Amino acid sequence: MTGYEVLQTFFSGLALGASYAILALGFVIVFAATKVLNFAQGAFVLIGAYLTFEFESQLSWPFPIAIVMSMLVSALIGILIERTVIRRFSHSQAFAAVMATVGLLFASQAVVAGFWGDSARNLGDPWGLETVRIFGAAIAVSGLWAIGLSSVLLGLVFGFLRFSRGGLSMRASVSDQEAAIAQGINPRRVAAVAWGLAGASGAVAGVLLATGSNGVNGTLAVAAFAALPAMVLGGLDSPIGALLGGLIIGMVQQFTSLLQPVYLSGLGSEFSSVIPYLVLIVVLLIRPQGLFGTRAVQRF
Amino acid sequence: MAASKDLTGSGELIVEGLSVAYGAHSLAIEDVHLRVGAGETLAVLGSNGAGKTTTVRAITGVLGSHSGRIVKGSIRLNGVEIAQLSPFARVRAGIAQCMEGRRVFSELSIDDNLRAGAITRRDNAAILRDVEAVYGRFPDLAGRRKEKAGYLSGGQQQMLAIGRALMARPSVLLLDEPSLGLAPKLVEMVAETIAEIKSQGTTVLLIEQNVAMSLDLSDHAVVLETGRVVLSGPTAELRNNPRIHAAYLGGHTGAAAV
Amino acid sequence: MTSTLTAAPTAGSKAASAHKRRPWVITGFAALAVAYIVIPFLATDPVLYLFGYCAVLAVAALGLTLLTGYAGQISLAQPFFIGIGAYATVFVTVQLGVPFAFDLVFAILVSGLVGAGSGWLAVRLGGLELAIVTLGILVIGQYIFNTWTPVTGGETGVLSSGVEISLGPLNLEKLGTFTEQQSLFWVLWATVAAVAFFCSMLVRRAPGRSWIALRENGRAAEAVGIHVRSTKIAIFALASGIGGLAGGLYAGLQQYLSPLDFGFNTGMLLFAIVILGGINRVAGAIIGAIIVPGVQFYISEQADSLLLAPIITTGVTDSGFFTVGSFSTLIFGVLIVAVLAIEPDGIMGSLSRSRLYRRLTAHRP
Repeated sequence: MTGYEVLQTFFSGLALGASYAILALGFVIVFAATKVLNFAQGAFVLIGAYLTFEFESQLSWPFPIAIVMSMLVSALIGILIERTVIRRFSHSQAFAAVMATVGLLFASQAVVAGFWGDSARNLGDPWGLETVRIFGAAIAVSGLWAIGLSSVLLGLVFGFLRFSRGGLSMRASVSDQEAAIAQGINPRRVAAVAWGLAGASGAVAGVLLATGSNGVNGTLAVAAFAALPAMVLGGLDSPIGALLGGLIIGMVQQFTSLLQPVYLSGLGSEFSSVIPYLVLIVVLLIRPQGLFGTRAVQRF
Repeated sequence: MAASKDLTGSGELIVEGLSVAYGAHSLAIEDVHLRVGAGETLAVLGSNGAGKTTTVRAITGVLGSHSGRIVKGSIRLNGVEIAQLSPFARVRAGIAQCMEGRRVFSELSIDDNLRAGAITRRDNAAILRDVEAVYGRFPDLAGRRKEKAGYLSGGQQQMLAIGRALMARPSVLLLDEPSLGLAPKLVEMVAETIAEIKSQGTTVLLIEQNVAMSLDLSDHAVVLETGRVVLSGPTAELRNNPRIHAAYLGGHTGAAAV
Repeated sequence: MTSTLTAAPTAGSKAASAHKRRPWVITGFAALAVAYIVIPFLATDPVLYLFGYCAVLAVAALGLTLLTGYAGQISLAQPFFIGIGAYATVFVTVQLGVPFAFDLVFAILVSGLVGAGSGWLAVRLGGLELAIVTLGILVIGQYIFNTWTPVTGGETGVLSSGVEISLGPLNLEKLGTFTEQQSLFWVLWATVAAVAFFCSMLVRRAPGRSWIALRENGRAAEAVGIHVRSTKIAIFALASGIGGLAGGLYAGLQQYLSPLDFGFNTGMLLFAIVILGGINRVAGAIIGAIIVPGVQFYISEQADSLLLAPIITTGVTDSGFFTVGSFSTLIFGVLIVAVLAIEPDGIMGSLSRSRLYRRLTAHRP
């Protein structure tokens, strides 16, 4: 293992972690605002990636516009899902709402497969497989873009939460929903904004996961699940926790990919794919409240 | 307190024949009539479970969060029916409440708690002035404005809850047990604050365990028992009513008699 | 979900007239018994194979009904335990040559033991965290099945045709002159009946009450003397053991096992089954396990029919929008959402509230 490899892995870990962070943020915002664990986040990932592909490769729109448009469409779909389906479950048990999002994931997977078929597509991202040399190490341009794009998006989301009126409504609603209603905050609007944000961030994550050699394909929906451990590590409802959890898991996963084939090759080529969950289980055994969660441990 | 005068307005609240049920259960309150004239203070008395908080919830519109609903009756603010309005529309119409148990946003800073109280308003410059006015009224909060509200003491949280309710610039303010669980000195401070809000012309509906204090502060009072109004009238009359005296002011022992 | 507390039909209030109504229940069971005997003579082998598959899913879904429906523990890992049972059976039968009845016991024990381990994790976790961690267990299971080639054959899979469902010298897959599919139908559905009987015994007695208490309120359960920790571990072990049994039967039914048989899609198939049938009803798991694969089968059979041909594409030139696979995915996605929104207690929940059902079962022992 050389210093170049370490630097290279550091960047790819950062890039992967940034994608996880964005995905986990989508999970966290929806969970915090509506107490729904949204398995349909994978649908946004899928739809976002395919729409970007459609806009860019088929309609020949400039790439940035393709991304922004697919974010918008995906956000609208998120709001629509909240309005038509999720709202019906606001008084049911957590289980029903979770399974409903699984049902939505299934349905949207089928619709996406209907539109675009099962074969993988090339996203058509302008950076492709290019690399640049930083301190002599070959760094994938797509990774740098992933880091840059995620930073911008995360900055926007955190800025929104911290400084805007809508962000304040959302934070207040998460803290104590009834008290928030008593202040004049509309919980339905908060839920709609949360699902819209989840849709938009899912779309970006989809683009990042489909970039480079990965391509746009149906497994992206399941790839989104890899961000769930990041969400739990962060304590389920903490956006900052999601960010840090995502980065940690991305880093550990990429460094495992670097080291494990050399030192523990017996574990096979797929070992790094289970890293997010292994990290989660190990952390939960040591620190049941998650890495950043301040909540009391739920023992029942 | 000239600055905080901006926070207040005045409204007339009339509740007629109000009945509320939770889920499929029997009525929590039945045929309740209340009238609070503009600028007046009404004390709602009653033991636990009499229906005081339910009445407040019906007026502010948060019954839905407790799967309750208005079975019949009307709630009018300045002559306008509000019983069908959403909670946020009622806040905009001028009804603000200070909920039982304070219910501050404990993960949010004190500043953010106050800004959340003004969430229905769009006049940013005035909101900033009002925040300062609240800090002027409660200097304890002013020094800790960036701290999380969860770290405040119980008394400070109560001040914050009242301040947050004032941030909506209500014409009618509902206070649910503002002195509950506070030390005597803080109770006094709450009483002073309420007197001041009242003196600025805001209509106040006050629910209090501390009957002596609420009679001191109010113009009229009603007594609820098992969901029904059993007594009502000007405070001065009720104070001398033997029933009130015996039940709430500890008349026979004389301990809390005023 | 408080309705479930009153859902199990209790003794009828009018005991005198109830005796007249009991024959309906007996008639119902008699009809099931007749169907059980007759179906293998009427149905074709592919349909019988489908019924066998339904039976395996029914057993696995029964475990899930106890764990998620009764005890309120959301677990996505059930296919992992089916997988353990299946691979354990193949390993012990084919590689060690142990008779089948002992294999099943081994499969149940191994799955139950691993399940107890995940129950131990559940002790530390609340509902949704548990869902995520069990999803992790499922993913890790996929990795193990794909990687541990000596036992599982890796991605290429392993032949399980050597597994014969048998009791000592009696090979239950070749009963007398009957075909393998006919024999399998009888033995698999007998197992379903036995497991369902076992489960309904449990849910009506102390264990069932402690599971419901756990679901409704863990703290209160502790307060009334239920040992939450051991109850959680036990229900996980039990549900996983039942999953392992399903896996053993699956190995007997199938010629070949692939890791994909025990992945996320199977988990969702099981959830579609229990949600549709009624997640907190023992009978719901069985009804769902017949309907869901049945509908899938019907869709694939009827893909070229007048009704479905415009929607489903079966060839390159076909104009349909969906493939058979994605169309049934769509149906189940929509079905799950619709059932949860309209009738969260599923078919059995809806049925048990209907007047006819109450009348027919007014007095049940």
